[in-house]
Amino acid sequence: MWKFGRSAVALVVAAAMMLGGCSAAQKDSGAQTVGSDSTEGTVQMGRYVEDYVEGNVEMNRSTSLTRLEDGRLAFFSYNYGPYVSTDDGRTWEPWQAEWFQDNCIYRSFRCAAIAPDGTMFVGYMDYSAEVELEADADADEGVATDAETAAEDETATEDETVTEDETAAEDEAEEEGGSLAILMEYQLVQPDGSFEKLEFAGMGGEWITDCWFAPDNRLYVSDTKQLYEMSMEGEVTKVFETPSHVQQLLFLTDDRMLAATEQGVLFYDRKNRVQLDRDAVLDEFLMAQVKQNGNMIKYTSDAYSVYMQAGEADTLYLVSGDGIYSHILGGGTVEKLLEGSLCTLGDPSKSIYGMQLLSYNRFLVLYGQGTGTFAWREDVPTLPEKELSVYSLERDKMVQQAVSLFQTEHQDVYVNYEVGLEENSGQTKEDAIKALNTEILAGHGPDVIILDGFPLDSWLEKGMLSDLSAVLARAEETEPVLHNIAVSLERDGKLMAIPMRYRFPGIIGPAQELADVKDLKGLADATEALRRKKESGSVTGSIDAQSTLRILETACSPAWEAEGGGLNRNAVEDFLTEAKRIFAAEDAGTMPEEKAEWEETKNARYGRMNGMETDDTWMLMDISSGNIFLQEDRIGMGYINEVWSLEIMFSVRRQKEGLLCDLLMGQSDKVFIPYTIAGIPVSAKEPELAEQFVERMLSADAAVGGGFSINRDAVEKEIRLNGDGNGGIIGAMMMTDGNSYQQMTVYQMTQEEVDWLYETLESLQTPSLRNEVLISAVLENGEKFLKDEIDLETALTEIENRVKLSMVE
Amino acid sequence: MKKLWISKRTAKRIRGILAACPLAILAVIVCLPAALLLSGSITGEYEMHMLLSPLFGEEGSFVDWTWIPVFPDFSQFGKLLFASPQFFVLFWNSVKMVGMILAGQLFVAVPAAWAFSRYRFWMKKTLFLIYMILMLLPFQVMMLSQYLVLDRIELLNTHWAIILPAVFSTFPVFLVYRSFCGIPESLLEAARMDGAGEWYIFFRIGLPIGEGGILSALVLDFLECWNLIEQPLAFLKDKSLWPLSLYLPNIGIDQAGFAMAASVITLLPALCVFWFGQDYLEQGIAASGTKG
Amino acid sequence: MKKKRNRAAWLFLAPSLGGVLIFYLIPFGDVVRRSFLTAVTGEWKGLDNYKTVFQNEAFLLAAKNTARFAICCLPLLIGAGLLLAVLIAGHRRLKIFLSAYLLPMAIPSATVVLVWNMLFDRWGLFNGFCGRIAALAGWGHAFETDYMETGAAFWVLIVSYIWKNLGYTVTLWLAGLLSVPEQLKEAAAVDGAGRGQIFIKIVMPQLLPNLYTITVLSFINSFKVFREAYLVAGSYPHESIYMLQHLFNNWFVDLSLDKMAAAAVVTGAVMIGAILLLQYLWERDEGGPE
Repeated sequence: MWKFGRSAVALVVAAAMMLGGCSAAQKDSGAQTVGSDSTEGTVQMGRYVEDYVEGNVEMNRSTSLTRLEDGRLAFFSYNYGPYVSTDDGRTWEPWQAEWFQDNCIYRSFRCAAIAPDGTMFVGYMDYSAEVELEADADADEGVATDAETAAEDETATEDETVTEDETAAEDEAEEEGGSLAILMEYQLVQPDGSFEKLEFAGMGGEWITDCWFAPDNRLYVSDTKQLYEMSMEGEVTKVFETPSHVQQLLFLTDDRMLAATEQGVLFYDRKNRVQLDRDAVLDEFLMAQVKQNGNMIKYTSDAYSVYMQAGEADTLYLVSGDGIYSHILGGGTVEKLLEGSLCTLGDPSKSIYGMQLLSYNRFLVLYGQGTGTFAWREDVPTLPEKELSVYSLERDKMVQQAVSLFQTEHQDVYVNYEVGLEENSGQTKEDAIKALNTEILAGHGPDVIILDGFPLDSWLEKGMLSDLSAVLARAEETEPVLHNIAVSLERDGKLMAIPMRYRFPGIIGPAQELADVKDLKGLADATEALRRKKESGSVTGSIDAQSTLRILETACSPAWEAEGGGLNRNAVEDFLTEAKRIFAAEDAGTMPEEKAEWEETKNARYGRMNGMETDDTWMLMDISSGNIFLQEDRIGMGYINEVWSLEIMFSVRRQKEGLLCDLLMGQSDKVFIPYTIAGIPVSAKEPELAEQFVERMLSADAAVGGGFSINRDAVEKEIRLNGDGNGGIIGAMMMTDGNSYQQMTVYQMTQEEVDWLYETLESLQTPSLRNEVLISAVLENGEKFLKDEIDLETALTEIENRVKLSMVE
Repeated sequence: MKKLWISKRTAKRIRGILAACPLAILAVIVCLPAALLLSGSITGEYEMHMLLSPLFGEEGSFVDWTWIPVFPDFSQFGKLLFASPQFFVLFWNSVKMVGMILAGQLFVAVPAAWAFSRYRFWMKKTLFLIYMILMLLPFQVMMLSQYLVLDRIELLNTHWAIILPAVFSTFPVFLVYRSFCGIPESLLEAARMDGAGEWYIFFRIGLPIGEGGILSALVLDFLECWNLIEQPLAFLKDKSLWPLSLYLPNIGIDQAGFAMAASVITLLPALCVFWFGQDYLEQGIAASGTKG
Repeated sequence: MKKKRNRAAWLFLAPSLGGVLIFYLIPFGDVVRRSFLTAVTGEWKGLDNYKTVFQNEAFLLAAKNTARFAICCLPLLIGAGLLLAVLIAGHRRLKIFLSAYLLPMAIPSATVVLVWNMLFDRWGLFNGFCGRIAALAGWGHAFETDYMETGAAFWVLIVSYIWKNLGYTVTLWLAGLLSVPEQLKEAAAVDGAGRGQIFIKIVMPQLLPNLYTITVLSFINSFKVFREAYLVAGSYPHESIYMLQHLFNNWFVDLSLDKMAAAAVVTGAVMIGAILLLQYLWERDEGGPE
C-alpha cells in the first residue's frame, strides 16, 4: 500500500511539474529575445529603414520628447533648452527661448517634462551663489570627463561629457558644504512663458528625480521612494511606493501607467487607483537588456539603455542598442522588429534620449546629436544578403562601434556580432572556445575573431589565421597606423593578428630617486632609497604583497617565458627577489591606518572564487597619480589607459615639485598590453568583407573609450577633445585620502608632453600576452614568499610545477 | 566455553541495531550536502553573504553555517518560479529531450540487448566489445567528429542533435543486457517447442521478465541525461534551446542563494524518478544477478 | 532453424547498430583518421602524433593519474558498497537508508561544485567543523589546508566520487545478495559451514556477475568526476588530479586535435585490453557473450 502510494505521489509530482513547465513554457516560449525572423529559405522582404538626420540645433542631453496638442513635437534639452519641430523631428527650433535665457545661467537642470498642452515642469540646481567654482565655469564650455562618474557610465561619449563635469561640480559643492543634500528648485512654466516657483514637499527631504506629464496634462513626479502626482499648485499626493526611483514613466491610452524601475516595471491603473500585476516577460527582457548595458535603464547622463513607448492597444515598443522590439503586454514574447546593428541604435557612441511614434510603423528616435526616423519598407530585404560574422568572447565596445560603422557604410551587408560567453551560465571560457573551434573546423566559423582571452600562441602557430600583412599595408596607405604595435604579434614573417587597442604601465615619482631607474632592480633600489628618506607612510602605494606583485607584474611578465615556450626560471627568480625588496621597503614604514584601509577595499580589487569579477581600476594611473598628489615621496605605478590618465598624471607632475613620469621599466623593455586583437580565420566565408572590416577597425573613428588606439589620428582626437593641446586648464578635481581634501587642477597636455606621448607610443615593443596560468602561479606563490611564509626555492619549485603542465602539453 | 544464552531473535535485533548505527551515521553524512543546499536555498541574501564571506577573501574566519537560517526567505524560489520565464523554457527543454531519449532507448536499446544476450551470431563478441568501448570513451574525444556528422545531416542546433546520439548510446544496451542474461534458456526453448516465433518470445517472455532491469536502466539513464552538460554546450548554439542543466549560474557570492534554489528545483524531478523507480532499481538488477 | 534465429537477432540489433554506426563509429573513425594528420591543415603525419603523445609528459602524467584514480577509487567503492550491502541484507528494515545513499546521484554537477567550494575551501565548512573539534584535542592546526591546492585534492575527488556512487553500488550488491537462493546457504549451514565460510564459498561466487556489472559501471562513472574537478580547479589543477580529460580539454582549446586524436586512440586501445582482461577473468565460467 505504501509502495503504491509512493509511486503515485511521485507520478503526480512529476506530472505537475511537467504540466507547469509545459503551460508556462507555452506562454513563455521564446520569452528570450527571439532573433529576427529566420533567414532560412527564400529571402524575406521588409524591414525598418532608418533615416538619420543630424540635428540642426545643439541638442544633447535631452528629455521628454512629447507630441504637443497642436501636432508639433517638443523636447527639452538640459543644456540648450526646449525645442519644437513642425516637421516630425527633422528640424527643430528653440521654444520658450526667452524663458530659458532668463533661467539657464548658473542653473543645472536635473529633470524636465513637457505637457501636451505646452506646460513645462522643470527642476534644477542653482549655482549662482557659488563663486569658487570658477574652474567649472571654464568647464561649462570645455568638455572634460570626470573619472569617477565616467566609471559608472558604460558609455563615455561626447554628449555626456558636460554633464559628468557638472555632476562632479555638484559633488564637490556638496562636499565643500559638508552635507549631501541636493538643493533643487522647481518651476512650472505656462505656455505663454510665465512661470512660478514650486516647492516640493516630498517625504523626508528627498528631491524629485524625474517628472512626466500624462496625456491628460496631469503631472507625475518621482523621488527615490515614491511616485507622486503633483497638482498645478505644487501639492503632491502619493500614488504608490517604488523600490527605487522611477526611470521612465509611460502612459497607455486607457489610463494605465507603466513605471520602469531598476527592479522591473510596475503597472498602475490611474482611474481606479490600483496597482496591477506585473509582466514577467517584460521584466525579464528589461533586466537582460539592462544587465548588458551598464545596469541602468537610464544613465546618469540621462540617456537610456532601453526606452519604452506605447503603441495601439496593448502593444509596447522598446528601443535599445540591440534594436527595436515590440511586446504585447501580458503576452509571452518580445519580438525583435529591427536589428540594432543595422541602424544607428547599434552605435555605442550614440545615446538614446527618447522615442516617439509618428504614425503606424513610423518611429522617431531622439539621439544626442540628431534624430532617426524609422519607416517600414517592403522593398528592402529583411536582412541584407551578405553576412559578415564577427566573434569575441566578451562584449567589446570597440567592436560594437566598428560593427555599427561598417554596417552603415555597407547597407548590403549584415554584420552579425556574436559574443561567445553567455553570462552566468554553466559555460566556462574553455567551453566557449571549444564550441568556436568546433564551428570553425566544421566550416561555420566567423569571419573575424577578436582573440582576447584565446590561447594566442597556439592559434598563431597552428595556422588557423590568415596573413593580414596586405590588409595592414592597405590601411597604412590612408591611415596613420602605429606600425610597431600593429606588427607586434608577427610570427615567422606572417602577421596574423593585429591589436586594435593597448595600454601600457607607467610610473610617476620623485625625480631624484627615479632618474636612473632602468629596470626592476633599479626600481627596488629607488624604493629602498625613498624609504630611507621617508620613515612612515606608504612609499609605493601598493600596500600589501598581492598588489605589489600585481603592479610590478604588468611590466615584467613577458620576460618570464623563455624563447621556445618554457619557463625562464632566472627571470622569475629575479622578479621575486626584487619584488620582495620593494615590498619589504614598503612594509617597513606603512602606517597601520593605511594597511587597514587597504584591507577593507581588498575584495574590490581581487575576488577569490571563480566567477568573481576582478576590477583593476585601482591599477589605473589616474588613481595612482591622485595618490601622489596627496602625499610626498611616493611612487605611483599604474596602467596608462587613455589620454585622460596622462592628463592627470602630467597635471600632478606640474603641480608638485620634482616629479618625473615615465614608462614603467620592469624586466621587459617597453611593455604594452594589447587588446581587441583581431584576426581572420582561414575558414572565413567572406574573406574580402572580413579584410575590409579589419581595415575599418584600423581607422580613426572606430575608436571608443578605453585603451589607446592603434590609429594616431584617433589618439590625436582624444587629445583635442579637451582643448587644443596648449597646456590650458581643463577643470579641477577633488582629491581625498579620507582625511583631507585638496583641489587639483587638471591641465591639458603641453606640446612637449604630446610629443613625449607619440614618441613613447611608437617605441612600444613588447606585447604582454598574459599567460594566465603562469601569472597566477607567480602571484600566488610570490605572495607567500613576500610574506615570508615560504622561501625562494620553494616558491620557484611550486611555480615550476604549476606551470609545467601547461608548458608541456 | 560458556555461552551467553540470548534468544536468537534478540541477538538478531542487537546485530540489527549495531549495523544500523554506522549506516545511519553514513546516511547523515551523505545527505549533508543536500541539506546544505536546502537550507541555503531559503537563506536570505544578506545572511548568505555574511555566511559565505570567508570564501571570498576575508581570511581568518571560517564559513559558518546555520542549518536553519535566522530569517527564512523563500524569495529565491519565488524569483525562480515566477520571475524567470527563461527557467521554464529550459526546464521544458530538459523534459522534452529526456523524455524522447528514454522513449527512443526503449525501442532501440532493448531489442539490441535482447539480441546480444540470447542469440549467437557472427561477430557478436566483437560487436559487443565495440559497444563497451564506445561506452567508455569520454565525450571530448568524439565531440568534433560527432559535430561534423551532425552537421552533415543538418541536425545541429536542434534538440535532435542531443536526442539521437543519446538514443543510440550503448550504455543502456549494456545495462539491459545483464538483466536479460538472467533468463533461463529453458523457458525460451520451451516456448520455441510450442511454436512461438522469435518476436513473440521477445515480447511475451523476455520483456515481462526483464521489466525490472529495463526500468532500472531507464532510471540510471534518466539521471545521465537530465544532467547532460557537454553535449548541449557543443551542439546547441541557441541559448534558448539549452537544457536546465546549463542554467545553473556561475557562482558569485550574490548568486549563491539563487543557485541553490535552482539546484533544488533541478533536483526534484530526479528525486521523483528515484522515488518511483527505486523498487525497480532493486528488483530489476536482482534479475541480472540470478544464475538460474 | 538457426538461420531464422540468426536473422531475427540481426533484426533486433539493426536499429541500434545503425544508429551506433552513424553517431559513434563513423565519428570514431574520423578520430582515428585525425590521429594521422596535422590538426588544422590536414597533412599526413604518419605515426608522428603517436610518437609525440607517448613522449609527452603531460600525457603520461594524466594517464598515470587517471589510472591511479581508477585503481584507488574502484576497489574502495566496490568494497564499501559490498560492506554496506551485507549490513543491510541482514536486516530488511535497514533498507530505508538506501534512499539516503541514492540522493547524491541526483545532484547536478554545478551544484556539487558549489557545495564542494563551501566545504573544502581553506576556510570552508569541513575545516571549520573538524578544526573546532580538533582544537579541543589540541590539534588545531591540522585542518588548515586548502584541499584543492595540494595533493589532498586527489582524495577530495575520491571522496566525492564515492559519495555520489555509493547509492547504486549498494543497491546492486544488495540485489545480488538477496538473490542468492536461501537453500544453498542453508544446505551449507547444515553441512557445518560457519557464516564466514558460507559467505566466501557460496555467496561470493554467485555475486561475480554483479561484480562485473558494478565494476564496469563504476569505471564509467569515474570519468564523470572530470566536470566537477574542472569547474572547481580550472584547466590546470593541482598535479595529483590532472587527468586525461583535462588534457583532452586543453588540447582541444589549443587546437592540438592531432595529439588529442592520437591519445584517444591509445586510450581506446588500452581500454579494449582492460576489458578483454576483465572478460577473461570473470566470464570464463559463466555463459557470457558467446
